[in-house]
Amino acid sequence: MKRLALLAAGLSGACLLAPVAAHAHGYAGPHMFVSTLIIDDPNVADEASLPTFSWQPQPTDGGPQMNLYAAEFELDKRITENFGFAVGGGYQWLTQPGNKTANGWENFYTTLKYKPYVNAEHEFMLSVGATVNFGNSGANGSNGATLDNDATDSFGPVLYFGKGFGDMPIGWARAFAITGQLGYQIAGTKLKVTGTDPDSGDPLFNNGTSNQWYGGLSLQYSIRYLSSQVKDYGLPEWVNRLTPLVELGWSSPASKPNQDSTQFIIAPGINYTADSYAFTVEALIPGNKQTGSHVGVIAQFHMYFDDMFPSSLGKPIVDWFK
Amino acid sequence: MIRRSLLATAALAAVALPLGHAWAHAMLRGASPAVGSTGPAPKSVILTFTEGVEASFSTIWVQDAKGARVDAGPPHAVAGDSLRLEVPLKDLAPGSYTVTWHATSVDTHKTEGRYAFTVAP
Repeated sequence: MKRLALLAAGLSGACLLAPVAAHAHGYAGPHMFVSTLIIDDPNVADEASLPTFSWQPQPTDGGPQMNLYAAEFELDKRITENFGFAVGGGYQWLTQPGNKTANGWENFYTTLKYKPYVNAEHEFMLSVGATVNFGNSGANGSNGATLDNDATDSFGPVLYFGKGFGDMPIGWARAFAITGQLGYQIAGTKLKVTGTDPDSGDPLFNNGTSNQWYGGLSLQYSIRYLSSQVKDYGLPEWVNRLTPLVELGWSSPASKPNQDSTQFIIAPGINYTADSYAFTVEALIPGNKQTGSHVGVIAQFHMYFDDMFPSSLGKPIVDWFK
Repeated sequence: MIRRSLLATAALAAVALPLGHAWAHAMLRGASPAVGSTGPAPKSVILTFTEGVEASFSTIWVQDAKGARVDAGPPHAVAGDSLRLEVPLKDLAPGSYTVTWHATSVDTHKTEGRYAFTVAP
């Protein structure tokens, strides 16, 4: 049984060189892309997801229901205006009826992200990055294996984009936005068959893992954008701060042999963005039986350091010395 | 046990952080004429933001359907209220108008937007 790897797929971004004038805080022109929970948003920012709580019933293969709970964090920091890094990890508990609950740290990850292009007029943003997942940096051994922590490092490129629909001819539809992510993870040690179990006849494997494709999309509807760009319906301010959204996450093994399966998850929810923080809650709906058969939930408290601490944590590191 | 305590502490710290704002991006909270509205010809456009804005570092353009500017001066804060900017207008004929704004909040964050309103015959 393989739990959904998406939530541990290292959602933060990666960075390269060359600054381009742009807005922090996820804006492409007048459209703000909210921070998403299943996929990473395309922005480079000073922010923290602290914490992200999730509950995800696991695929059972007909056996008793196991539940995975996780408390995760991610810290993002800009080095220059459009170049930054992030570090993240978390702690998880896997309840197993009839067995002791397994618990331990997830493997930690870091990402670099660079945002080379923003088109304010067309509300478009593009970023590229690289992620590294550090094998054995969390729970390891048999406990780590139970919690599905890889024993080997993995790394790879990621592409992110965001597009607001402000140039659509239909007024109310202009409040929509779509963001996306596509990544490829390369295993530090490839999974290999090392023999055959003499009792079961099943193949035996080394501590490697397989390469993996992963990605997803989010579709967002900004009430703020509707009220400030299209038509003011006189909605209360707290309603204007809402962004209903739905995310789709996917991962699939990209090499053989592998012990993974293609997984899909659909996560509808709602985001509330205040002046310096945001709160998002989404349902986790398995998209196929390999992902599970019961709905879970994920929720996140997100802090925008550029609003909370604009003179310190909220500005690029290179500006600290000016 | 210790790690769970650390997680609990971090969660409590996150919640206990001041939820009222001192600094933030200035988003458009309201406008007069209202966004997407139809009404009599206004004498000025007033934009209300969620945060204080610097009038001297903000711009408001008002253009008619042909793209001609109809604003009659630079934006200024309304009666000492840094949340609101006002720009006077020339006499407006019936038709559609576009307001394009660029705001700099008091903590230097930049936001922008554009909306339309219509002057009724």
